[in-house]
Amino acid sequence: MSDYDQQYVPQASIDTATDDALSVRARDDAASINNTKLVFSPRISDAWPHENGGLTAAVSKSSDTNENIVLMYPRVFTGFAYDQLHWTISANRTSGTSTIIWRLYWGWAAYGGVQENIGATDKLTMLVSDSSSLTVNSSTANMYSDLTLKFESNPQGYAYYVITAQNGDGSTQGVIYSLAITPWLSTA
Amino acid sequence: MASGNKFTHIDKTWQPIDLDPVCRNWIARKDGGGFVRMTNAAAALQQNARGLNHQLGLAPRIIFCKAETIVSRSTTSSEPSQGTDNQPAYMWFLNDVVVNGTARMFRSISLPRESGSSNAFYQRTGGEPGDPPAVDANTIGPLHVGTKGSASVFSDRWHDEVLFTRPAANRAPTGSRESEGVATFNSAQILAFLVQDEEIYALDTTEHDYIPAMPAPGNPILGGQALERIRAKLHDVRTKNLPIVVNWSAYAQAGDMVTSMTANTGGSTGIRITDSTNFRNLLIASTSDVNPSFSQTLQGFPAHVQHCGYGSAIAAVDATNQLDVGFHILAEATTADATIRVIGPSGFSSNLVNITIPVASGLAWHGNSGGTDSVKLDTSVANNDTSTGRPKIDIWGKAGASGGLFIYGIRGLGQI
Repeated sequence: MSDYDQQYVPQASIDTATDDALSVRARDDAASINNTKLVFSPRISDAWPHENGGLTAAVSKSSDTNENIVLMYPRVFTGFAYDQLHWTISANRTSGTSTIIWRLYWGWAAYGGVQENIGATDKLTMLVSDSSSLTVNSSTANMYSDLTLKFESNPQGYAYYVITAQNGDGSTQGVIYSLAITPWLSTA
Repeated sequence: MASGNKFTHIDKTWQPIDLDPVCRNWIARKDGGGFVRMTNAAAALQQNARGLNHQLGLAPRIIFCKAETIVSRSTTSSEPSQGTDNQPAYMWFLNDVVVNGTARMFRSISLPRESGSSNAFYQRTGGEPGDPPAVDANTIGPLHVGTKGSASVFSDRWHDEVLFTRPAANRAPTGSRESEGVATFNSAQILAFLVQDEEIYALDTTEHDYIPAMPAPGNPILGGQALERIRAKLHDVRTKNLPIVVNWSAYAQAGDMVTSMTANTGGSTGIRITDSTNFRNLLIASTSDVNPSFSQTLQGFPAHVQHCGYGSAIAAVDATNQLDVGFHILAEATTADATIRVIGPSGFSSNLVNITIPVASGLAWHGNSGGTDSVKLDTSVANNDTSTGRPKIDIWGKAGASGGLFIYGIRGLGQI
């Protein structure tokens, strides 16, 4: 059983009056610390309720087949050693019959300088290190999960997360309702 | 034990701690006649202490985050914005159980303001959960000038980062429950917002306890004391600082979050439910159900909580590998009491909780008094599981008779 099969184990206080071998509890604490490194990764949790009275939905751009930025987070101090991003969205197609490809990008830097309106033709203006995509092809709501995104925090520990959407044709559009991004250690 | 990480920029203290080489408290006798018990190597404690320090200093929780959609924006789109008043643009809630470490990094991406001529900026708000939040005058965000142009609203984007520390007069409130927020001024336009604990690079162990192999009579048992401190700190962070599982806040416009409900019923960013017969899915109001149950496919809130429990992660689901997620809802009911229903995944009996939103309470944080308004998640389930036990939470709402339910914030906080 690896350390990561063992979740947090509350340890008893050490009785300093005894000569209990420290190695046993040091190992137990090490296992719990290793597990804690998984649990306390800086996690993104966000949601965009839709059709509830004029809310701002997270939709793909209407009548457009370019890949457009839909969501961008300020830089996140992500820490070190995480080598994957787990991300899950709930989404569906709201019009048309084609697909909507949602992509999660992460990068070490983003250029937020002068540019044209983000939308019709702009691509991601950031130093992209990796991305992965989830393809939505149903008008029925579903939850989509992806675990394959490789990740590496930069030497300062920061990362930008960006979500884009690309409609399969000009009449197709989609929406996401919720999002979770969790940096992950896969080295267990 | 774990293998090393292949990346090059990684602080090695973040790799899994492997104490085997340094943790043996015995040595083999030279004559091959067995083992001799020794005291422990200090390196074992040093590695644990460094691992814990990095966990405390370099894994800052994201307290709150909210990104607004970028596509389809125009010069007339409304981003989270206030006029000249001091109502919060966003609000969040947390169990504030510490009196130190209260500094927060506020990170934002802002756009030029829609109107006005004064500098746009934001400030931190905070207070008791049931009280209108007060702006903390000591916290001043970035000052922005300039107004949206007519053609290129994103020609300027500000990436800002401000460290807000909580002054003594506004520290942890009574009961360690805190409502916190950010208020924008002079039409400040926040496009994306993220609040994170302050990262601390310098928190490390450079000096550690020395444990002699042959302690003399009367020597302090430093090893045991150091190990106990590590254990206590780890226990504290592991039981009181659990992940924020569900996070959402409406954004306020023209002060509607606190003082005026009238604006909310028209085009607010809060969730508005007027159905008093069926529960409505908070994420999509067109979905209704008289008595909803958990769905592994319907729109819900993903909850990556693998390994967040305690005990063995590979045993059958029991009290050791489940995580309670306590819910707080910032909401108001009109005319009659309303109900929020939170439903957790299958695998647990009665994994459902109803949170009453009393009409008499007005707009306030409701739920999880005493840690009872919670649902359970199976921490042995992988983050990408898609079965009926998948890590996901459904939330529904129903208005009272002839009434309305207005929701502005949802917080699901892990708890043991």
